Amino acid sequence: MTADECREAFAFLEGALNDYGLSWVTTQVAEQIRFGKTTTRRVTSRPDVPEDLAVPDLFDNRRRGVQIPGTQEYTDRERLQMLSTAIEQTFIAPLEMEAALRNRLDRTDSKWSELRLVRTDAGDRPDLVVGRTPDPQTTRNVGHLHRLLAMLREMM
Amino acid sequence: MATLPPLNNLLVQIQAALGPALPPSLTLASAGSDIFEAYVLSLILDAAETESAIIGFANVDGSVPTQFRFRTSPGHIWWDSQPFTYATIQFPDTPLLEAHMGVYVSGKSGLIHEADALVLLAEEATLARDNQVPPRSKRSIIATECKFYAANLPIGLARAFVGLCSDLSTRDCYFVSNAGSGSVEKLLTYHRKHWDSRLEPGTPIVVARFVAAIQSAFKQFKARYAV
Repeated sequence: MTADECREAFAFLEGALNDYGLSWVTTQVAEQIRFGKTTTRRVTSRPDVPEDLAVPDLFDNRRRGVQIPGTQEYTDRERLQMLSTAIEQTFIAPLEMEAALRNRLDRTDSKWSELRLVRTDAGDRPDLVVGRTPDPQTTRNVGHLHRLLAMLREMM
Repeated sequence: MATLPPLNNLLVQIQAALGPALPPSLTLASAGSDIFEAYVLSLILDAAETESAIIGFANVDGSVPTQFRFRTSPGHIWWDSQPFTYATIQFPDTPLLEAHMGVYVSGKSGLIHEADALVLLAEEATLARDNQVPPRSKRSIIATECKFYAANLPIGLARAFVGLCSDLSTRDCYFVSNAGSGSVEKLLTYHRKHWDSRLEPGTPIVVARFVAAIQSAFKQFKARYAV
């Protein structure tokens, strides 16, 4: 993929995520892009030595190299990779975590009916419910999305 | 190898696949965080079980749960507006432990902080419930700060965690996240804090490392409190 294609793909997927109410995902990615990639650069410095020094060898006059941290912009390809990773982390990882939770509860209590995650500070947000068995349709849909994202990575 | 579709076609397919793959609850960032916190608690219980603990569950009102109800926004350990659930951890010949999600705990300064997942002595938890006070961090064994992010973690989270640790007397404080960030990892390492990033079922090496670290915390608890 060319840089232009990466840029266009990024804009397209960013818009799609926002349309589905996932602006928190695109905002976090935008923050990461704004901050930039942390790098270190080697710069040299020469200590200030008075010119009329009585004992010239008193100071070490060599230039010294120091590592200075800095940032640089992400490339268009890196931005698109970042967004596709964000989609995976938002859609695929939680489903796998739910499966691990079911497994944990099954091993401790064979009679559990459901797990409710209650957020009392979020107004009318409904409880997040993890049932004993995963919804097969959601599992299929997430698997399909996973495959499409893998294809996109292959094209990058 | 399958032939890749043209880019525009693939993007349209991804766009169409997003909707059906998205559970309605996950449109909020908090939902991912909640699942992540519960997942981290389950790993802590896995570690305890590996170290020969018997795991159980109880509700704050004393009943035995069949429907588990975990609080993911911060709350006091004694709040019983709903029958919130916590786990019990019993190692042989040691005092009983409790594991909670989203409870307040008091620090050295007397200030109250939130612990996303907290393992503490059951005796301290009972004292806190009976007297309606937050448990003291010095009577807790493990406290974890859980961060669920779609992108890299901002450095401010690590700064806040370093500050939090300085006020908590909990023996082992952990910073765990599904995401990563070189800056966050560097800062936490510099300050000698426990951390794990990219903790999710798809990264078994990270999961094993985190569980092993928690096992080590339990090992020390057992050595310290064995009767």
